[in-house]
Amino acid sequence: MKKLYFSFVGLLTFLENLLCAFGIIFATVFTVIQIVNRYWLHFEIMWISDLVLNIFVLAAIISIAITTREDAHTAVDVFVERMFRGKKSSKFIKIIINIACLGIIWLLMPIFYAYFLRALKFDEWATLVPWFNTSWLVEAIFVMFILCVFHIIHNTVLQAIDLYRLCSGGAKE
Amino acid sequence: MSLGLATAISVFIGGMFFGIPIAWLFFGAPILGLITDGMNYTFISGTFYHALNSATVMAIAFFVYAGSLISDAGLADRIVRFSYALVGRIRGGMELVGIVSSVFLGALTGSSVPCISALIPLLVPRLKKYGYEPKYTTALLCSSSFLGYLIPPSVPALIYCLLAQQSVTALFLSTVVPGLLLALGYAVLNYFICPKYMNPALITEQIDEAPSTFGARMKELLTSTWVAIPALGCPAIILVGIYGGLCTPNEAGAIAVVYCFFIGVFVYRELTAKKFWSATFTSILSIGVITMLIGGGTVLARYLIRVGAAQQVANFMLGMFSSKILILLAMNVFFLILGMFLDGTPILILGVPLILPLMQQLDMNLVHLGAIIIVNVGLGVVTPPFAMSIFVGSRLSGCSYAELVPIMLKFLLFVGIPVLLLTTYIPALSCWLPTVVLGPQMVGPW
Repeated sequence: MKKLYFSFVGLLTFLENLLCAFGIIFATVFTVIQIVNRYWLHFEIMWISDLVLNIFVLAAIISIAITTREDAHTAVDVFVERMFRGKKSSKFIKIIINIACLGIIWLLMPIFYAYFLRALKFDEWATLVPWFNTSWLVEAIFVMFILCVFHIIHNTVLQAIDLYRLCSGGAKE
Repeated sequence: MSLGLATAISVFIGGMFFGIPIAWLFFGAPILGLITDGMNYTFISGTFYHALNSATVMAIAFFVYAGSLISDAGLADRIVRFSYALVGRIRGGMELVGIVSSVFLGALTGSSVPCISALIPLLVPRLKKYGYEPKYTTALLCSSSFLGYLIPPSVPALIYCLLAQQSVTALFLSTVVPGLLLALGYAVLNYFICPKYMNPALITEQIDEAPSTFGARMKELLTSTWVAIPALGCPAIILVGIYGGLCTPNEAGAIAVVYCFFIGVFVYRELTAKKFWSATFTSILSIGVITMLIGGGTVLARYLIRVGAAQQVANFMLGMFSSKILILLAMNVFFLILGMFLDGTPILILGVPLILPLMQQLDMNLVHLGAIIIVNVGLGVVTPPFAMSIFVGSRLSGCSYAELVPIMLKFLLFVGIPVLLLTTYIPALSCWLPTVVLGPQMVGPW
């Protein structure tokens, strides 16, 4: 079961990284192609900039989940680090911070869920890319919050296990 | 002040000192404030989505990506060699190489952390062999790292333009003169204090003898310039593209990424697949941080506007201070205090919407305001106790936080703050160049 769970986490990590890297590289390359087209090729492609922006927004939304997974969001940790110096206390405070973040997301979820449902119900298609449904981006925001909840819980449980091991004498301060 | 606003401010400040990520607090504080006041908060979802759906956010991401690629693509090394050929022979010149490299790398990366990450591993061990104390080299590089914010392209300038709806081209130019003044100030201060930090016991290598003839010196300079041309071409392409009207800032960012990739793979041949993935992943993390801060910060800003907080700040400042000079001084103090605890992007996102209505009432030129705020934000990166550059510099060089702070304070007090005051009270420093290049109608009266 544990192995299956960690395989799932590995797969999720891989998919998030792949989607986000693809989105950013795609946006970069097609933005350059757009310039090349404008000055040299002169093909009638009106939709590139629209598509690039939409793909980029999707990648940016996923990058938030990745940053949460890697615990890389900016925080003023200088005071906490000074106050809670020991391994046990620093892990304990990390768990409390994660719980506070979950609390904030819990407050956010109802409004983003309502926004998600509305996007599912009323499709909005991109102006110049008729096959790109911009409602997918709104839906992706809700999925991103779900992923953030998953990653925060995962990180918190790992921290709690470490803390438990420290407290039960498995490792020294 | 309503109970909701007081709750939001307390939650934000309390949460910040408690170590909760600022991006989550940008959501948490307004929600709790709105709940306390019994107000509707459904606007948050739409505000967040529309904040992300912007070409400027894409431009920021491209410049961040280009910055990540630069250190892995071997461009920084060539810039250092070029800077050494330019200024390495004068007194304190080896340290001056760091300042000049920061100016050029600033033009490449548009940010401070990539500058430090590229220069510290290159310069600190090398200068130690010549007798320069690592703590001094690190402190100097950390202090000059924020030149990356001032020499275009600049990521904070893009964020300011997003928040204040100003022209990116004008903002990029507005910080050039303050940036060069800072570099000059650092060079002068370095000239006087550098000998204090020379330790003969550290010397394991002698600095190469300077070429004796003018011809030999020129030859050396031309050789290093030739090697550095591909690296120096990156900012040149960006600036010519933007100011020549050939492409938009986000297109210039994309060109910078592709250019750095090609230079790293085909010219310098240092960008391997592993390094490319490492640079991509680093930039994904930075993009995640910035995107969340922009999205959450826009939510907080919208909340502050809804409850009239920005107007209250404006009324309070106008009631408290009679002159524009004092208001600008108070604004600088406010940003410097924010800079002690926050990083560049959160300072901008939190501070600009609060200060903007007040400045509009004072008929302040918003390009000039942008330059002042970006210099402030740059100083925030080097102002302890929370100074991103010190944390990164300390980690990379192995010098302790306590060793770096006293030296950095000298650069802050004798150069950083005077340049901030000059930028604040002499609008020509920031508005002259954009006016000359873009015309007065683009910049407005100053």
